[in-house]
Amino acid sequence: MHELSVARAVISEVTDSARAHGVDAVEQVTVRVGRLSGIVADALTFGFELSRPDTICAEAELVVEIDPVIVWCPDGQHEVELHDMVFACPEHGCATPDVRSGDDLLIKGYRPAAGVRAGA
Amino acid sequence: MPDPVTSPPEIDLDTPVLDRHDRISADLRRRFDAAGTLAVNLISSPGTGKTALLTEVLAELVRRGHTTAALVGDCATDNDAQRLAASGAPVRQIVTEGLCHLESDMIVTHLDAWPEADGVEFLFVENVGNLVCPSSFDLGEGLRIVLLSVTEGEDKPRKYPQIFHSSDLAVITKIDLAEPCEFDRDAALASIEAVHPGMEVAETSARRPDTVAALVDRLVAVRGSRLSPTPASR
Repeated sequence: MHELSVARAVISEVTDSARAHGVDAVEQVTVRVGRLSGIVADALTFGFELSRPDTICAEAELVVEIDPVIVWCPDGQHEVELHDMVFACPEHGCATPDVRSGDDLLIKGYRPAAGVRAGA
Repeated sequence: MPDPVTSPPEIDLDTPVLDRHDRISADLRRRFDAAGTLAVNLISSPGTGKTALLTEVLAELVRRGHTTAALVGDCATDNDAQRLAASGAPVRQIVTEGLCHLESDMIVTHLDAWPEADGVEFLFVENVGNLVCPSSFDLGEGLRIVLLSVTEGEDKPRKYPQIFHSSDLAVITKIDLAEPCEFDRDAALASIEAVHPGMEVAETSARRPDTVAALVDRLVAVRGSRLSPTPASR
C-alpha cells in the first residue's frame, strides 16, 4: 500500500504550490498515473481520502487519469499501445523494450476552491 | 484579474508526484557517483533468499579486498542485520515499522550517521520484501536487482511486470532446489523476457560458491564500467 505515501506526496506538492499562489483551499486535484508506474488508482484515491483531513486538500476530490503504456515497435517503426504488459508489438510480434510513455506519475494540476483565495 | 469568488482557474503543475523524493534520490546518486560507490537496490518477495545470497556476496567481496556495506529494510526486527553481519561487512538495519518499502530520505538519514559506509565500493540496500511497492521509489541506486527464486512461480515476472521492467538485472535464486521444485527454467526466462526484453539474468544459489563468485564478477564489472571516464558527459 505504497499509494498512501504517494497520496501524501501529492498533498505535499499541491500544498507547496497552493501557498505560493496564495490559495487557501483546493477543490480538485488531477493526477496522471501511467499503467507502468506501479500505482493502483483506487488505492491512491483511498490513500488521498485518508490523508486529506486538516490539509489544504481537506475538501478536495482526486481525479485520476490513467495513461496507457506506449512503446516503440522497431520492426514497424511506429508507436503502439500495450494492453497486457507483454513487451512485444501486437502487430509485428517483435520485442519492444523502448517505452515512450506510461511509466510516469504526475500531478497534472489542481483547482482552487471558489471564494477562498488568501487576501481576496 | 478573474473574479476569485466565481470560478478560479485550474493551476497547472505537471510535476512528478514524487518530485521531492526524486530530488533526494538524485542527490544520493551524485553522492554515490562522486565516492565511486555502486549502490545496489535488492528487491524481491519475502522468502526469495535475498539475505542468504547477500550474506555470501558480501563475504566474497570482503575476501577479494573490496569495501562494502549493507543496509537492510524490514517492517520489524533486526534479524536480517544479524544474519548479514556474519559476512564480516558493516551492516545496519532500517526498521520501517510497517512501511512496505524504503524511501530515499531513509537512506540519507542512515548514511549520514554511518561513516563506516561512506565511500565503500559496493553499498547494498536490501529492500523490504515486496514486489509491488518498492518499484515506485528510486533510492539513488546505480543498479536495481529483482530476485526470483525457483520455489516461486515461473510466471512471477508476468504477474509483477512493473518491478521486473524497472530493474536492471534479474537474479534467479535457490537454483540448487530447481530439480525438486520442478522449476521450468525456460518458462521463467521467457516470462522475464516478456516484460523486459533483453533483461540480463544471473542464476545463483547461496550454497554454490561458483554462482556467488559469478554474480560478484558481474557487480565488479558494472562498477568498473560506471567508473570509466566519460568526458563527454562531464
